[in-house]
Amino acid sequence: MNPKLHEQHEQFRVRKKHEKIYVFMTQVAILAAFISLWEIASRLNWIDPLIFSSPSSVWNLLVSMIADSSLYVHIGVTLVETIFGFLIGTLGGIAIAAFLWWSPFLSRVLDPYIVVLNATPKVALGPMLIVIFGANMTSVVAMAVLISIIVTTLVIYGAFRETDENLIKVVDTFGASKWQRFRHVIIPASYPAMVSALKVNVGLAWVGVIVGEYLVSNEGLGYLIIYGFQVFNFDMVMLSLVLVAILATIMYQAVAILEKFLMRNRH
Amino acid sequence: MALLTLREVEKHFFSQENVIEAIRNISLDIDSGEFVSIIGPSGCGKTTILSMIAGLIKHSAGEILLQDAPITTTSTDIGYMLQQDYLFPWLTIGENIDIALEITKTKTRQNQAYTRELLDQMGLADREKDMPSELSGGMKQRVALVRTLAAKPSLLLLDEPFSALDFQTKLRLEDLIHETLKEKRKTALLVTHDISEAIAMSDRIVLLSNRPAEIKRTFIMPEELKAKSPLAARQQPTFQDWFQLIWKELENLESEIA
Ligand SMILES: Nc1ncnc2c1ncn2[C@@H]1O[C@H](COP(=O)(O)OP(=O)(O)OP(=O)(O)O)[C@@H](O)[C@H]1O
Ligand SMILES: [Mg+2]
Repeated sequence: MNPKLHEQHEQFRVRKKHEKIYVFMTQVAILAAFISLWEIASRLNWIDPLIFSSPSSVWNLLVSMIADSSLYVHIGVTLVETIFGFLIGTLGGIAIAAFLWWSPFLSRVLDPYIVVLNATPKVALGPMLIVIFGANMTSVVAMAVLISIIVTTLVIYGAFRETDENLIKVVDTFGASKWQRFRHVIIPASYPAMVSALKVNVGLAWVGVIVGEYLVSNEGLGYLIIYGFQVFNFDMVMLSLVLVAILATIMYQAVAILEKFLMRNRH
Repeated sequence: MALLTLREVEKHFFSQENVIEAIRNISLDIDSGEFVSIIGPSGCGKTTILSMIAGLIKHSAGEILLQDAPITTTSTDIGYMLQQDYLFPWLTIGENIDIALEITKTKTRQNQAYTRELLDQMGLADREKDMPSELSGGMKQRVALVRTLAAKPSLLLLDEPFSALDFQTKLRLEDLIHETLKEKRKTALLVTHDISEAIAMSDRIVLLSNRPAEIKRTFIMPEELKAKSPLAARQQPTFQDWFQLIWKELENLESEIA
């Protein structure tokens, strides 16, 4: 390369790197400013410290709950519920979609029911779940599943049906069975839709679990939020909120990395 | 002996409001090793005929026989090449070819070697690990041909296989396909819009009427064109005469619609 170009390229790279650093530093600064402001506002009574708590008291509570290990149970319960809800909702939705694809008759029969179920706010069915599964973790997981499974079914079934007919024709000309058609064309063609359903469902599973815990649970972060609210312990509410935000983000990022991995051979 | 026989074949399509008569009456014999082209106006029913022969759709009346046995469903004896390559974008070239063997449950080491040899003949031996998106249109169409031939069909159905290609690629591919099919003694039925292509490649050309399709005329190509490769046939002095003749017929048909 000619030296002048080389130099320009170097400048370009340095500039890009600096931009990246500035963005990151600004992000950190905003977070620090927010936390400090919150702390100051609370100490100086600009906001009611009983209701809005403060970073230091949230931190103290965190330390004490870690010390008496009560926090781990709640985090563990919520994580387990979310992971199960997420997996069952996603895999179940894909399974139902496969079933609908398999039987066009049934899919036409079930169509209006699915539309109604999809339109219904699933949270409204919460009391039903408690009656069916009892006031325990199963109900919470069921809530998470319910929220994600219908929409997963619709999205995946839609992807199945939108598969390029000519690709199906290719395997048909070789005399493919229905199973071969499904396995060699429908599934791989809908693969991107399934992978992106993962990402959507992580978010939905969190919604379902938190709502489920509001309704029935006596363990978990959602429960802590409601409990803290009832006993007027807003340190606990804030701590739980922050933990939910962090955990949900970590899980979402994990799925995003998984998505990248699963899509590494596609573009 | 006729490899493929169509006897008074008819086809109707049904919709909620009406019945569409697509094929009125087609009788046709194709001998083993023959290369026959079907040309006809747009929408006259050419693809429908191929789909029926391939066993993808059922005819309404008449008989379709392959080696004197009625065609009821798809069979590995018949290979069908679509207008576009329709390679699976998520599979490599090699896997795209193997899928034919997998579905026909003939994935043996021998058959795989056979397909790799075909790929080599197509000049694509080094592209086996590539993805379809890395290949040009002409290359992809060659891969599609290998995939179609992988199941070792005795009859090949080609539905405008060159229409998406640029002229040069198309000429080269015509030659390659012609040579491959002759060498493997395959029988072929080609559907095309392109009169020159039909003359250059075929032993016989069947001209269809407007929908509902009937056979309007059959042109038997003279030896001097038949014996030559498509590219060489295009250079023959008689080529233009045939072109004019078929062009006129086709034009008459198209003016019937207007
Ligand atoms: N599944 C179907 N249902 C109803 N009508 C159909 C169906 N398939 C084809 N047709 C009709 O049958 C006629 C013949 O269609 P076909 O696709 O065989 O024509 P073609 O000669 O291949 O046309 P083109 O030159 O455009 O490829 C058309 O009028 C088409 O609208
Ligand atoms: Mg057609």
